[in-house]
Amino acid sequence: MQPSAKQAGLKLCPHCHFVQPIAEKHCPRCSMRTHSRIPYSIQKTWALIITATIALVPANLLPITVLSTRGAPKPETIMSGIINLFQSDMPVVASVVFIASIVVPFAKLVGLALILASLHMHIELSDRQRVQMFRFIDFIGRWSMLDLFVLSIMIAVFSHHKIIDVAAGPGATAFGLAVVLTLFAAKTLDTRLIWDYQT
Amino acid sequence: MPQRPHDLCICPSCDLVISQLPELSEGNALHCPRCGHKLKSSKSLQFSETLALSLACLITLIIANLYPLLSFDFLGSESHANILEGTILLFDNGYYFVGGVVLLASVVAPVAVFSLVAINSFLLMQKRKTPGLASMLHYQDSLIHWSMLEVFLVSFIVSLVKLIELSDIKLGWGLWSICLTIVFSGRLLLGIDSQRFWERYAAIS
Ligand SMILES: [Zn+2]
Ligand SMILES: [Zn+2]
Repeated sequence: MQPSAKQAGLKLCPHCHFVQPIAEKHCPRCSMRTHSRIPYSIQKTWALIITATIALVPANLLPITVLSTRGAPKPETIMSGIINLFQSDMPVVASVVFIASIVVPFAKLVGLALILASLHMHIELSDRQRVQMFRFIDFIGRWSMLDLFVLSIMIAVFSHHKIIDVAAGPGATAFGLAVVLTLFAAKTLDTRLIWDYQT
Repeated sequence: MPQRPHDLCICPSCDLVISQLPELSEGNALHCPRCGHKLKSSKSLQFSETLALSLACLITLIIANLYPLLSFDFLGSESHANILEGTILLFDNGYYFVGGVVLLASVVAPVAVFSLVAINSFLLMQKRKTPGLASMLHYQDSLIHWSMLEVFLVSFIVSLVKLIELSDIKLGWGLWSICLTIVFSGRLLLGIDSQRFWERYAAIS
């Protein structure tokens, strides 16, 4: 087994990457509070994952966009918007939105939960696989912002339109919350724990 | 084993102690032997380069916010959309959280990151240590993840395809400008080495 810095009595400043003895409270170089491991990383990540999962329910059930034509409002959920795009012969855009708004948030939550669960239980995943999965999750996470940007752009486009009006629906807040929570969840998960829990 | 602890290298991703980091050869990044985390980039930029790139990003991003992304003619009246307009309307309608997140990721975080990189690069290049430098370096590192211009550009393309039925869409200067920002910031983010900033910071104190 290769030596971890923690076993060697050392730690790395998460901010400026300065190597220091584990007993230091504050980084001698950048004076930020440092920890050998993110405190309560597993608990905090579980809490964020669970909250994000709960937020995804209204995010998918409530309308995210309200499109009004001549004053008649037509609420659209994430899924009905994607189906509309498919029906309007825009399969590529529909797939992009589907991946960003449905696949990415769910894959992220499932992936993070799997990594966390693998720390408690015996799951056949190598350390390398887990950390690669984490990096992929971390990389794709930001793409779920896509639908919120599209919403904001559409609102701006039709802001002075006489017939069509686009407005946000309550689902947008829930979806935004879920996206932000999953971004924080990936930040609080300390990947070094994968090697700590090695037997 | 080196005597002083900070001569060692520790992998931030898996906590492996690497006592002897091999020399960085041209065009090859250094990766952690255990987890594959990129320890040192081969494309690491000098302070003068990060300064130039961040200024280029900042200027093109400001232009992108001043000019419309697109405009179209509708029943004789011209409509246009720019980046900030959507977030203002979200705020007006009480969607503070959604508006806030969109504003942060598409305007505030990018502007703040590019300004901080420019200021920090300049100060470190001049070997000048001002009181706020450490916190500016911290803000630079933490805000970088919230800048999502590339996601914004793809979102704009998605919106454009949705609008394809509208006749006479004219792409505006705002769009070309934001494309330039993404080109410059892509190079900047690929080569920015926050450790180089902190090492210089430690060296001048
Ligand atoms: Zn530090
Ligand atoms: Zn590693």
